[in-house]
Amino acid sequence: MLSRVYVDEREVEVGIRARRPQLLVRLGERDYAVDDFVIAGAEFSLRVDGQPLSGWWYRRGEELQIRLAGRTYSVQFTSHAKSAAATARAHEVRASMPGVVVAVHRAVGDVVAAGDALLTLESMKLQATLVASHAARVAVLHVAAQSVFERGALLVSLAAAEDA
Amino acid sequence: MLRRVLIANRGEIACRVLRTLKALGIGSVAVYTFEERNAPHVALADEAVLLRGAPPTAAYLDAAQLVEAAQRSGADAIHPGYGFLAENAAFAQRVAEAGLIFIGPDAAVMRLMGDKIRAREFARAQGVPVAPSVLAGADAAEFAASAAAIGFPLLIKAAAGGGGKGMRLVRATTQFAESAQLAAAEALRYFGDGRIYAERYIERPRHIEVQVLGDGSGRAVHLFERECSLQRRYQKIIEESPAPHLAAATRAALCAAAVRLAAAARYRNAGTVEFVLAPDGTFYFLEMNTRLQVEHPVTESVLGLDLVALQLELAGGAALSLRQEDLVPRGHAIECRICAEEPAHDFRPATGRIGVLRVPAAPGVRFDGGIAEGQAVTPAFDSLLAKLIACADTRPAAAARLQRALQELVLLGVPSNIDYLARLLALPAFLAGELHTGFLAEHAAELLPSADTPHAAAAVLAALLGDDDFRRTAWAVPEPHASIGAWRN
Repeated sequence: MLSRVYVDEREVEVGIRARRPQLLVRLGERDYAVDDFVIAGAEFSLRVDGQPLSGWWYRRGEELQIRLAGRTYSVQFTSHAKSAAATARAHEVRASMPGVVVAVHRAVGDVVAAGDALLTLESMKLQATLVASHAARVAVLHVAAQSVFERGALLVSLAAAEDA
Repeated sequence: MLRRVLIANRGEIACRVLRTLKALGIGSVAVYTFEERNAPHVALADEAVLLRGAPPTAAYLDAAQLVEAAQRSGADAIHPGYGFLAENAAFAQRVAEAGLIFIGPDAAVMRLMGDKIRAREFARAQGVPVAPSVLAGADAAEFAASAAAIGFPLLIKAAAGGGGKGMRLVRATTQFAESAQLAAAEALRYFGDGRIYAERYIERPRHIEVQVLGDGSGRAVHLFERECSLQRRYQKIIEESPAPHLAAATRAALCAAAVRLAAAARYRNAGTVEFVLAPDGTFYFLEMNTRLQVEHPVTESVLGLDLVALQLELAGGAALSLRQEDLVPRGHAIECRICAEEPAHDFRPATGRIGVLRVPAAPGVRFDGGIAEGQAVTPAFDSLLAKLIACADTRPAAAARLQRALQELVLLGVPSNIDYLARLLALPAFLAGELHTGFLAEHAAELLPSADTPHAAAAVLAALLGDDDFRRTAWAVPEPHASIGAWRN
C-alpha cells in the first residue's frame, strides 16, 4: 500500500478513503474524487472532482514525470512501499468494522502473491474476501473460522516474503 | 554555388544547416560519433560519416578527421556551425589548404578577432568605442597602478579568452594583485596564452550585439541588433530582436560601428559584433564573433531572411546582394534556449533519455531542435537541446506567444528548463523590458516554482492511478465491501 509519494521532492501522504460509488483518494489534508482514468500511449486523461483533465506521462524507474496544464511534475513513489520490506502497518491486516470470520484460506508459513485471498469475512450480512496487497508470507493468523472480531482488530500478520 | 557541404557539428545547429541545404537542393554530409548514431542530424543528411574520438567531443575538434571526411565524401565546403572549431583559425586555414571552402571568414580575420587585445585595438582604430582598459605588462605593480587609474570595478580578462570565459570581477585594489595572478595562470592553462588585460566594468550592463554580413571586398551590411542580456554564468538564456527601449540614435550608432568594423576588416560571411551598453546610453565594443550565433533565428524572423542561405551564397563567392536600405525589420522575435538541466538544483546539467517529445505547431512559432524521442541525453555534449522562437507584431504578443508555446511543448524523460523559461516570460520585469545582465540573479526568488498549483493534486492522482500497485490496492477488494469504507490491508 502506498502511504506516501513525493511530488517535486515534497512529501504527500496518500490514502484510499473509499472505492464506491467513486474512488476517493486522500492526499495530505484533502480528499479527491477520481474517475474516468484512461491511459492511451503517452497521454492520459482523468476526472478529478468532476473536472476533466488530460496530460502526458513518462516513467523513468521510480520516477513518474507528468505534464499537466503547462507544467511538468516529478512524482516519486517511496521505494520501501514497493519492496518486500514494507512498514509494520502494511503488514498488519486489521478489520475496518466488526464481523465474523467465515473462512480462513491460508496457513501460517504460506507465501502469498498480491491479490491472493487470505480470509472471507461477514459484516452486516455482507460477505467479502480479504486479499493480500503485496507478496508476503503469512506470519500469524490471529483469528480462526467462527472468530468474532471488533473494529480495528488485528486479523493477520504478514512478513516479508524472503524471511526465513 | 556550393554543391556538397559537410556540417562539422551536431545537434540543433546541424539540423538547422541541413534544413537550408535541403531547401536549396545542395548535397549534405553529416558527421557523428557512435553515441549519436540515432540522432536526427544523421538521418537528415544525404550521407553521414562516423567519427572516432574519446571523449565524443574530441571527434568534433579533430580537424584532420573532419577534413578527411569532407574529402572522402566529395564535399566542396565545410560549415562549422558554432562552438567546436567554428572560430578556430587553424582549422579554417587547414580547410582552405585542402582545397575546400570554409563557410565563414578568412583565417586571418578569425585570428585578429580571436585575440581580444588585438581586436580591441583594431576596433579603437576604426573609431569604435572601447572600454577604458590597460594591458598587463611584465611589471605587476605597474599593471595594478594603471588598472586602478581606470577605476573600479574592473574586469580582468584573458586576451585569448572570450564568450565569458577567463574573466574575473575585481571591486577593490586589495583584491587586484591576487586576481591578476590567478587570471593569468588560468588563461595560460585554458587558452595556452597567459596575456591578460583589465577593463572598466559597467554596472547593470546590457549585452547588445549586431549581426553583420560581408563579402570580403570591404562591403558589409548590418542586420540590426539583438538583445542578449538575460544570461546566467555568461550563458545566454533568452535573446530577442529588436532590443527593447533602445533609442533610435543609439541603435543607429551601434549598427554603424559594427558595419565600420566589418568593412575595415574586409569581413567575409556572417559575424556578430558584441557591445556592452551602459545605463547612460554609452556603449563599448566587447568582441566580435566570427561565426553564426545560436540566436540567429530572431534576426531571421524580423527580417524574413535565411542567414544560412546567405552564408552559403557568400561562401560560394557571390558578392553581397543585400542593400542596407532594403533591410527593414518588422515585428518582434524572442528566442529561448531549452536545456537539459535542473533549475531547482542550481541549473546543474541533467541526463536522461527523451521519452516523450511533442512540439507545438502554431503561427509565429519556430522550434529548432536536434532531438528525437528515444535519444539519450548524456554529459558528453553541452546541455542545449533546442531553441523555441516566437515572433509577433509586438513584444508583448511575442512573449505571450512564446510562453504559450512553452506550455504546449512536451519534453519528458530528462529534466529541462522549460517551466523556468515560461515563468521568466511572465515576469512583470521581463515584460517591462528592464533587462540587464544581472537580471536572472536579481529575480531568482520570483522565478522559483510555486509549490501548490491548482493541478499538483491532479498530477499526483494521475501518477497513482497509473501505478500497478496502487491500482491493485484501489480496486482489489470486490463489491460490496468496496463501498463500505477505507479498508487497509
